[in-house]
Amino acid sequence: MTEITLEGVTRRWGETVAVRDVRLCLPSGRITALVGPSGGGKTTLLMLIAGLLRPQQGRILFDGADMRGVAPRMRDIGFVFQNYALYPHMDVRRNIAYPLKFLKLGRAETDRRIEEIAAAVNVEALLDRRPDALSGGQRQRVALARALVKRPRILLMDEPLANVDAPKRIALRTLIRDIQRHFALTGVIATHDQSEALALADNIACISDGGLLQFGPSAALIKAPENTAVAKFFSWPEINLLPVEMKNGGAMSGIVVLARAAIRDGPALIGLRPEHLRIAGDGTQGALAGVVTNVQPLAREAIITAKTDAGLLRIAAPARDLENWREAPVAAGARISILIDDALALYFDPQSLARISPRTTDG
Amino acid sequence: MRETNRLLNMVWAAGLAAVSFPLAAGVGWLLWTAATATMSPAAPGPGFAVGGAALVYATAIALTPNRRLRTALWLIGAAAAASAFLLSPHGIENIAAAISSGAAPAGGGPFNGPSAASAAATGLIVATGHAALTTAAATLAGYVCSRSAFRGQSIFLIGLFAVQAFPTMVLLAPQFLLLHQLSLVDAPGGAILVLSALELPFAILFMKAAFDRTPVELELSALADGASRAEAFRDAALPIAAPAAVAVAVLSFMVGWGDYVVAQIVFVSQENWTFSMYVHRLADENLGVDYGALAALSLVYALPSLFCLAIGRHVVMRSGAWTRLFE
Repeated sequence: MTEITLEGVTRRWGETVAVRDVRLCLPSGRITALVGPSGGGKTTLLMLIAGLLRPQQGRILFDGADMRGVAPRMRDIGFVFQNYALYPHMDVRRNIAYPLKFLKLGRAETDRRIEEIAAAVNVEALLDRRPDALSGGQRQRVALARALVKRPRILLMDEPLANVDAPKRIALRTLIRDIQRHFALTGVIATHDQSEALALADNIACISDGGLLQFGPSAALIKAPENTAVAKFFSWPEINLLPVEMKNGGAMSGIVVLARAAIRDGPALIGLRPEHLRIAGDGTQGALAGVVTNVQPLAREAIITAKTDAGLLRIAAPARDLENWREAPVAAGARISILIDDALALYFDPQSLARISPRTTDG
Repeated sequence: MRETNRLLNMVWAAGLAAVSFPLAAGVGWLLWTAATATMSPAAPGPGFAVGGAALVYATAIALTPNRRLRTALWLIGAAAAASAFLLSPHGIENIAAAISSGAAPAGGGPFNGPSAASAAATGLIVATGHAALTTAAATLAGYVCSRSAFRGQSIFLIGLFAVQAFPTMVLLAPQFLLLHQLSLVDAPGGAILVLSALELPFAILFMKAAFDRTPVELELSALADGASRAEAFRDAALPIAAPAAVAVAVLSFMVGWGDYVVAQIVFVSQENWTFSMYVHRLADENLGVDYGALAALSLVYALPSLFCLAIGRHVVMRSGAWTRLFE
């Protein structure tokens, strides 16, 4: 159980700034996901926390203790690398045993610890194999065992499931969560995959271009993104962002009123999540008229692109709704009406791109 | 599809064999001369034929798919060659003459050089010392060049190449003076230092390339696991680059054992001659060349390098086998 505090941490590589003045407090005993596009500085942040890199500015504190000058091995961390970094010349048992070598535990205790952690991550049957004889998921579990065998307080994972086959991911996510709870670890996970972050983490820090965009409980980032970048990142398909003119409490696109909100008059950006838009029959009162240009049918939903007077809109319609559709099937060329829920619309400042409505984050 | 592959394979093997013929013919001639000739050189025809036959036999073995059969064919071939040599008219005689030639020079005259055993011992000390020093220095220097960008690194690396531009013979004169200052003339240590200095540029670049291919995450992982920097190098970098280090060691040994130019400068006294100098003396025409003995001595001369290659082979061939884990 360790609280990790970053105070204005900056790390540059020559001219480029990999991490820019990041201020964060990662709560003890929780998993925090560092989420953002690839190359945004997530891995660098993990390495800084681990002590594998030194910040050029700022401090990193573990439970209030400054970690400046503290070697990685003194930080009580476990690190799982993206490519797992299993030692190729050692079998699985020796890989897992490696961190224990430095604890001088004695033969019996070493063996006991290996058996215990191998059972926890279910690699007992693989102990005599070499890493090159393992699948991606197996390597991942061995790397997890090696990171945990010395019972660290902090578990750092870089893209832990990126190299694992999709069907195995759900099981591994569950495993990681169970282990984190069992050992009461403070976890930090770097990932570019939003669904991974939502599935694994209690809190999310959205990172882009080395800077922190937003930090908070996972639900808050979806419900109330601080700016358009976060909104775009946590919306799939991508959130619809349209320039509007606020007039008398209405968001106007030309003469069309898209939604109503209590915001002062002037230009704004309205953010409409595709899953919040609903389609209705042509000519529905109070709805936005549009023509379907493209339909991508998926397993549970269909992604519909429609051309409207306000611009192109992406709509994610549940497959169930489409099946119950009373009239002609929704296909390219079909005329539809799009219903916008006033309460679910987000508003951003067109200059700063920061959110202006809703004002509070109660998520 | 498989038939096409087999055909292609045979064409490929035949091409390689054809290119190798000049070398094989030379070795065949050495064998034939050592087995049949005394003072005058043997006629080239039969010797080249022996080399050609050996080449065809070796190619046939290489193309044999069954592993056990391959091993058996190797053993049969080696045994046949060895027994043919032992039963040959002059084989044993020539080996004996080659080994004892230091004591009784072919053309007569005073000679207080070393015995064959003593020359071989000096040669082995130089070769082993050169291999050890070059491998150790190149591994450490290559690691540093690969992992850290120190000031002046590129100049250093280009400098390594630039030094090679000068002719070795010219560099040797000042190096002799340097050795004289260090009292290392006539000592194996002197030869080892000069040989290593000449070989290190290539060896450092070779080891740098090997460490460049070794993922740095392994060392970072070792650091996170609790290792110190030195332990991380020892446990997570060195084992991955080990095949390259073995290759450098084997090559350095062969260069050290085969060196004549440096040894001739460093070893002033006859009694300190290395094996390569011993061989060269036997080929000295002023004394009248005993071709049979010279050919026999060349066969003995090749043994340490072949032995070294045989033990290093498995490790060198394994290099790169692990890199696919990280792609």
